[in-house]
Amino acid sequence: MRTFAIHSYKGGTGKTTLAANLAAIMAKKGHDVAILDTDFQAPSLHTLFGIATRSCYVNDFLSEKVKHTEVLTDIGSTFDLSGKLFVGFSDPNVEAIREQLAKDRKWHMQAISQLLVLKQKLEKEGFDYFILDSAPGVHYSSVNTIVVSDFTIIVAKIDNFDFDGTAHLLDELYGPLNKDTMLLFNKVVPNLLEGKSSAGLIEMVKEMFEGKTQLLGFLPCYCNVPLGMGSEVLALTQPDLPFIAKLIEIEQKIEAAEFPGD
Amino acid sequence: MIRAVYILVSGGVCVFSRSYDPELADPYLLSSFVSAMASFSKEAMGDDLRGIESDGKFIFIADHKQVTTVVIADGPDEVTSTLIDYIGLNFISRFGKDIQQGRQNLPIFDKFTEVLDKLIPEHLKFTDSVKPREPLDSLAIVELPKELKDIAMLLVRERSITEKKAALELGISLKKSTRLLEKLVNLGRAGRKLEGRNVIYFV
Ligand SMILES: Nc1ncnc2c1ncn2[C@@H]1O[C@H](COP(=O)(O)OP(=O)(O)OP(=O)(O)O)[C@@H](O)[C@H]1O
Ligand SMILES: [Mg+2]
Repeated sequence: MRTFAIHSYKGGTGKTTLAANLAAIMAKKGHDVAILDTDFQAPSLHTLFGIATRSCYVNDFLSEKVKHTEVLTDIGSTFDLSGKLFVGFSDPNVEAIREQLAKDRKWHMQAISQLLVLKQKLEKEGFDYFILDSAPGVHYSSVNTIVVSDFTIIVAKIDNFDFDGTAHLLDELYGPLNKDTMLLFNKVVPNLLEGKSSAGLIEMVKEMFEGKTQLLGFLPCYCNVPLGMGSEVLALTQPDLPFIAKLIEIEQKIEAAEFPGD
Repeated sequence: MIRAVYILVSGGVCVFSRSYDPELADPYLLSSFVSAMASFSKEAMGDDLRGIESDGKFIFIADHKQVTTVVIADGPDEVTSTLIDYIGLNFISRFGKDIQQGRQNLPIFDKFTEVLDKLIPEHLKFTDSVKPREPLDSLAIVELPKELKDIAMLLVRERSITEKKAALELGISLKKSTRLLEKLVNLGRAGRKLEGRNVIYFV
C-alpha cells in the first residue's frame, strides 16, 4: 500500500479537488482506495462527494471514540467502481471545528498514533492507496498527515508566494522528515503552458526545485472545473472533461513514481 | 539491562559493588549468594561466559584470577565476555596491588564506581522508570535526528513497545533498536519502565 498526503503551503491550491478526483480515478482503475479528510478547520470532502450529515467522523476516530471500520464509508458501490473507494469525512459542524481548534499537543499525539494505526489496518486489509487530504500550511494536523505518509504531493500555484513557501517547506519540513515529495502545479494560466513560455516556466521551476523534489506536472486552470460548485467529483460525474484526462496522466505518473527510499 | 556489578576477592569477599537498580536487594546480602555461585561456577563453567538464571535475573561470572567479576543483568546474553573482562581487568590494573596485599575494604575502591559507569554503555545500564519529559508529537518528530524518525513513529503508533518488538518491526538488530530507543529516552521524548522482566518504552 502507498500512503500519500496532498498538501500545500497556501490554501485553495486545489488539494481537495485533486485528492478526491485522484482517489476516484484510482478506484475506477480497480485499485482499493481510502481517502481521509484531515482538514478539520475547513472540512470539504463531504460536500465534494455530496454526502449528507453522518454520525461519525474522522475527528471521532482520532479521539478514539469510534473504530476505524465505523469512520470509513464505502462509496465505491454507489458509483459502480471496480475498486473500493472508502472515504472518511471530517466533522463540518461549527461546534466541532471550534472544539478542534482547542486541541492540545497531547491530543495531536494521540491523533498521529491513530492515523498510524489506521494505516496499518488498511494495509492489512489489502488497500492499494491511502490518501490524506491535508490542511494547508504548517500546524499539527497537516504535519501529522505528512509524518504518516510515505510521500507527499505538494500542490502549488504559479506565484511567488507559493514558490517561496514551497521551497521553505521542502527545506524545513519534508527534508528533515526524510519524506519524498512530488510537486504539482495547479491552476496554471493556460498561456504559460504554450510554446516559449512553457520552456521558460519549466526552466524556472527546475532552477528552483531540482534535486529537492520530483516534478509531477502542470495542470492548467480550467474554467469549467468550479462549475460543479465544489459538490461533484468530476472523475465520477463527467469523466470526459479535459481536466480529468490530464489528471489521468498525473495519476499514471504517481503510480509509476519511484523514490530512492522505496 | 545491567542491574549490578560486584567484584569479589578470594574467599568470596565482596570488595566493590555498584547497583543500578534501587530495588535490588542489599548488595551485600546478595553478594554472599553470588560468592557461593562464583566459587561453584569456577569449576562448572570453564571459559565461556554464560548467564545463570536466578530469580528472574541473569548472573554473569568471570574469573579474573585476582578477582572474580560478577554482573547481574536482565537477559541471558546481555553481557559479553569482552565487557566483563574489561571491567575485571580494569579493576585489577587499578587496585591489583592492594588486593595482593590483602586489603579488602579500602575507600579508594569506591572510586571505581566512576570508572565503571563509563565502561558500561549507557543503554545497558538499568535505570528506574523514566517518564517522557515532552510529548512525541509530529512537530517533535520533525526535529528528531534522522535515524530516530522511524522508531519514533513506530513508538507513536504502538504507544508502548519492547526493544525486541521494535527490532522485529523495523528489521533492525536488537542492539540498534535498544540504542535508538535509549536515545529517545535521553532526549526526553520517550519513557522507560519495567514490566516483569521486560523493559517497556512508552510515550
Ligand atoms: N485546475 C483547476 N482549474 C480550475 N479550478 C480549479 C482547478 N483545481 C481546483 N480548482 C478550484 O479551486 C477551488 C479550490 O479548490 P480546493 O478546495 O480543492 O482547494 P484546497 O487546496 O483543498 O483548498 P483548502 O486549502 O482551503 O483546503 C475550487 O473551487 C476548485 O473547483
Ligand atoms: Mg481542501
